[in-house]
Amino acid sequence: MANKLFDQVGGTIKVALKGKNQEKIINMASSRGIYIWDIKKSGDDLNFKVRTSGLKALQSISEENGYDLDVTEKQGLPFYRNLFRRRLGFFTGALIFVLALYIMSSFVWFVEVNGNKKVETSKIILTAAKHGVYQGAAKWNFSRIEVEEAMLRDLGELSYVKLDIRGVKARIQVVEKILPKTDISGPCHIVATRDGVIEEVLALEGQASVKTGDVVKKGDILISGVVFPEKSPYIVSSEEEEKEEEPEQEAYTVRARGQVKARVWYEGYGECRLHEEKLVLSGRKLSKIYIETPWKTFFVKGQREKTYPLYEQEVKKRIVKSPPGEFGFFQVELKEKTKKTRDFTAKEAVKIAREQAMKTLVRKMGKNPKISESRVDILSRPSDPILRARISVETIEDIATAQPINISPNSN
Amino acid sequence: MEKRKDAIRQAMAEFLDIPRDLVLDLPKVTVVGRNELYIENHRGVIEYNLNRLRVNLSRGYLEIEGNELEIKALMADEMKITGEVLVIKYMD
Repeated sequence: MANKLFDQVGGTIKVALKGKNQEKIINMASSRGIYIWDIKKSGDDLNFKVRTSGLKALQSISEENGYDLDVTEKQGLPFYRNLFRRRLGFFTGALIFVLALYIMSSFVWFVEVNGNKKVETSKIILTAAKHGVYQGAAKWNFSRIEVEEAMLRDLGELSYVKLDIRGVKARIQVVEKILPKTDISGPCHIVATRDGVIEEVLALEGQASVKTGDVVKKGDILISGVVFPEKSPYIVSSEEEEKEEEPEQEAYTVRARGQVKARVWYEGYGECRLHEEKLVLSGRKLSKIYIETPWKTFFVKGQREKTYPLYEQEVKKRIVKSPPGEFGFFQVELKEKTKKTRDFTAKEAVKIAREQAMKTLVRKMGKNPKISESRVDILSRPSDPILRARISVETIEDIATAQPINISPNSN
Repeated sequence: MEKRKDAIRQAMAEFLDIPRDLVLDLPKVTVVGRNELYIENHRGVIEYNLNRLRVNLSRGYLEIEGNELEIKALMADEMKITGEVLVIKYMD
């Protein structure tokens, strides 16, 4: 019936009633509201069940009328108390386990940051820690949204912060702001990015300090931002003497602009051995499986004795550590290697060395500027076992870059 | 006097179409198959053993004969009997 569950919670007791005319007790019990059920006669006894709460009343009824009432069986939750007491350690352990699991899982144990490219991870972690998200922080001590907002406020470089708490892991996902390139607005020079010979100078603003054919070094000023006014050569006045008396106009600074093209050189180097010896995997392999115990290692499978003259060995292990030692199995794989020799003719070697040199050259040059001239030099002598090649390339490229002028009051 | 009261009640029950067990305090016996028996409005158990069960009613009593009879549930005016039922007899 539906109240069987409640019977279990409250506990039920099976009793045996002895005596004559037991119907009397049944009637008295039911008229007094003592619920009894499963009434069955067995021999002279009458067996039935009663709730724990009704047992006392039933006992007093049967005593008054001279019946014997024996408790034969106890059922239900209250009677598990003995079991509980006997296995107290087990139940406390279970409780401690559940509690520990709950407590341990209510802290942040890992902080993970992703999505950042320029902003340092340590900076983000530090900011998060300042607002309460750090290793060992209790989850109830911070609010996710508040931390996100505070981090966004503190780190101006970020446009979006998402804090995701997954179990014991705090995942901070950020999106960085893409800031416009800061243009130099103050006065500046145009300097050379690399060595070269000036081919063409076009100064839009500022004063060109080099001219075509000049050799410049990296860092040399090409267009000066400091302008010294000159007398215009076109105003040829007759009152020259008057002008000389005028005070010299003072130098002023501008943000130099312009294009400076220069001839620059790049070099690439490559080499190739004429006689090459290489170890190559032949594809044949052997595998041996062993079982390992702390006392002995047993051989299980494979050809035990066979090996190759040249081989590469790979060991895969599955080991369980235990107090007496390590148990597990491991597999040893031998991969055969063979020697491979190759001879190149001089022509082939030159080709290979050149290709290699070209590769290094391209890496140095970056985006492909126009190559105006190239030359290949063989550096090695014909008797050498190795062929070395150098490629020199001449290109014309823009070597101008802006460099701000530091104007301190003392230095001017 | 009692008889007159009963007669009035019966007439009323008939007129108003009310179930008689409610108005007249009559027993209601439900038999499910041969193994289950529900009795409502009983007045207690007179005799019980494995082969015979006598249940007191407001008027007379009900005698049930069978094998392995068992009172599965017993409440103030309701009971459930299981076991193999052979005879249900009304007695005065």
